[in-house]
Amino acid sequence: MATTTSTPPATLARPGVPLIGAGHLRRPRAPLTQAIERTLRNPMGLFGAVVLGLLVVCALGAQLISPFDPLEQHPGSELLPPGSGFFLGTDNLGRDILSRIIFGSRASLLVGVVAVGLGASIGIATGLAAGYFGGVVDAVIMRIYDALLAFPAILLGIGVVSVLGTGMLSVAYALAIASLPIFARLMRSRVLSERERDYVLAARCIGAGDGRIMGMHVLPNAISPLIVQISLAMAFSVLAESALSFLGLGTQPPQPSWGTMLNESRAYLRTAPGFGIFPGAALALLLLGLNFLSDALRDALDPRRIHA
Amino acid sequence: MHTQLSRRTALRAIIAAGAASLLAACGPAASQQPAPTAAQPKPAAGATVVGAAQAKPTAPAAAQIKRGGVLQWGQVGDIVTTDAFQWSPTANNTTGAVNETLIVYADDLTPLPRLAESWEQSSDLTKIKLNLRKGVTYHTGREFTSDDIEYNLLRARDFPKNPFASQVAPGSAWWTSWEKPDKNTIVLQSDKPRPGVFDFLQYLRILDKDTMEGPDAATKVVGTGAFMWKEWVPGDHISLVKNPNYWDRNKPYLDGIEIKVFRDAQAMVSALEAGALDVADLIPIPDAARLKGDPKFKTFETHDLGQYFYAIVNAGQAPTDNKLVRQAVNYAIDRQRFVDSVLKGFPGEVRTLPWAKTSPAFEPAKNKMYGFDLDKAKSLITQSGVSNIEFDISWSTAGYQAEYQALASIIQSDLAKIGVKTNLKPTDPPTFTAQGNGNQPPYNGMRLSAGAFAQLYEATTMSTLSRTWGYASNLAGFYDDKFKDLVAAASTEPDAAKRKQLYSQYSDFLLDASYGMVICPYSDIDLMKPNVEGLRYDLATNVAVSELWFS
Repeated sequence: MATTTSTPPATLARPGVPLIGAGHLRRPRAPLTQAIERTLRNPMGLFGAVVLGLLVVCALGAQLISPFDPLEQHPGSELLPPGSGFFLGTDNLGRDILSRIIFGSRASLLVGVVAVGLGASIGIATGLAAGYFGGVVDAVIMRIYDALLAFPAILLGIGVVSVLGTGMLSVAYALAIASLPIFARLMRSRVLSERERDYVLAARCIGAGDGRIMGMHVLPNAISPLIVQISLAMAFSVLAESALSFLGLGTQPPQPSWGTMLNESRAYLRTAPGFGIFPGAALALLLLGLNFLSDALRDALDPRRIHA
Repeated sequence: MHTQLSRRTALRAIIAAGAASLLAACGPAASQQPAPTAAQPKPAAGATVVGAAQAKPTAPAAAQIKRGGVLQWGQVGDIVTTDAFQWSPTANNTTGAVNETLIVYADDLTPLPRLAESWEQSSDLTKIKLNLRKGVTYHTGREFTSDDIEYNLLRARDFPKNPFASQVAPGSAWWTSWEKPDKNTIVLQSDKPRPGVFDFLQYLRILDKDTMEGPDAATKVVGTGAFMWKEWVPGDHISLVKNPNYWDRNKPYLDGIEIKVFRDAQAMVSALEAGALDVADLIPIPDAARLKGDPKFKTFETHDLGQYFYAIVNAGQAPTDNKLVRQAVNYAIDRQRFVDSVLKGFPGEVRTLPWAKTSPAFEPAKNKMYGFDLDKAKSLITQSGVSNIEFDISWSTAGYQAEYQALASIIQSDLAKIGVKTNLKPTDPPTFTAQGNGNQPPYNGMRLSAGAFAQLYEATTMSTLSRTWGYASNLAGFYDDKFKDLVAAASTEPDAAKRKQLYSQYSDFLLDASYGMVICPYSDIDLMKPNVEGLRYDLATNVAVSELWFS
């Protein structure tokens, strides 16, 4: 029996479209991978990713890359301008500003990751349950979140910190609580539309349980806007940590954080501007990067833009 | 026309703004006027004007003084009560301008007449006859008499009912009886000699009975002072107007004072620099250092009004219950570094005892004890036999927060060098106050704070008025019979020479016990426009408002 082999024409190869044929069969790339690729192709997204990467490197490698111990005081070298042995100058106690900025990134990263991690996981899970089950479950969960939403986030943070006590972790927990309703409401609204789709009906017809439908089918299809929200919440958490530290509720002295550095520098803004401007610039840069990243993610996940 | 801001344009603008900020940050620190040093000659006591546009030391002739105008005065923080018994920087500038005292101290601690025109004291110091100024009226028109002294004495000793009377309650309780031979005379009698009587009289503000017992006591202030209370808008401003019937017919020079309340000292300084204020009271030290040489302003610095920074440790709790540990900590405090780098040299010197130069207890040699010596501190720790020493250093996040935090960081860094671990605890004001309550306060380790009353004629008055050094109840939970006896002996000894000997023993005891560790005196620093004249603080830290005028 004669057999023939054929090669698909080259013109069929299109980006993003899997080629079908012997030797060219590839699994389609996951939508999330495609979204990440699109984000990194966007200059703003790339800038945000680089800034975020820089933060992670600074936070994890602070011990290796910082030129001085951030707590070490150099008597006689107070409020030095940039240069003169200290790249970004010194603070009012003669501590190296660059080293304190590098170590201060740990507070930002820790609070950002813990607050968003906790807030997103609990908020998404409860929002999913509220949207999927509806009825009493929905009413109870959403009324609790409505009550939380009644408080401005920073005020809620101050309240929680006053109960838990000051410190980085307390701030992270406070911000996690503040971000819960946002994640939950967003997830719920997505689930309300997804649960009416045919694929949910199909899954139910083949005998899938609620847990499986929620976790394996609805969640992956509803998660896109939540990814954008995660990057926005990260930016908010970093800013709120700095604000609470500025108010003396977050990172406690002598440990460095950008907020405490800004607070300590207030009285010296005119005599030693670098003391306040450098931690402020680090904070601004990170927030800019995170906002650009969330913008690019939104574009990358927007179906209208993808198919345009 | 509608224009859209593209992301690229926005990014360019942000980068340009950021670059400008970074350029500013990379510039050198603004030049600062050299700080005064210990070697710089200063007046021995009292208040003086320093800076580029120095006021002449001699009092201006009456003809030179211009009358009129409303002074715009800025201060951080509002009053918490209209009860003028309260003694605080914000109260002294406001209710203190309306309610007067019986005497004031001159810079050399000579009592000068105020509402008391003259006095006669018995040789054993158990009795004093006060001859009150005649023809003085309250702002309501009511005549001031000896009945008002009696009312205020009784009110001051009713301390729990009048919580703001803490400063005058002990002194008012000295008097076992009094007589009022006529409406302008009162004779106070005690069962013991009271060498500190003038310390008490300079703090006792004379309030108006009708007002204090009336329905408007919480909002209205009535006194006999040079200025009358016009309006108080809490958190915003207080308005004072000239008293046209003031007993000193020549004063006040101003028509009124508008006191603006700020929440932030930097905002207050900016308001002065923008021309919205004539005087900014108690400005931050970095701003004082920055503007000291600026010809557009005058800086005013008080000297030695008995105010000082100190650390106090809990002597009732381990590890600071051990005297050798306390002495080691005392040696490990780099006072000079704090004075030079944080206070920019303004206090001029370090001290290990609270006494101001005016105080009869002041002995310069004793202030040299506990020089910064980490080797000695380490050796004392070894001798103490206490190991793994760890304690908290706390301070209030209210006034002087930046200074306390810097001091705490310096102490922490130096103690770490001798193996003592400390935890810094900035504490909100109510918690900080609560942690210092009781005869055995619950706080751990060390507290940083500011003290007062070290300028007085009778040095041991401080042990009655202050919770820092109180013999009956204090912040350290430190009690000792010898200490108590020394205070009792000095405070009732009529012979001044013998009292001076007792003060010396008292100082030695404080240094040895080391439960309170004085760091340095501190100054109140005001910034003002060059045309403001006559600013002066008396020894009780009151601004002499009736002497202010515009040139």
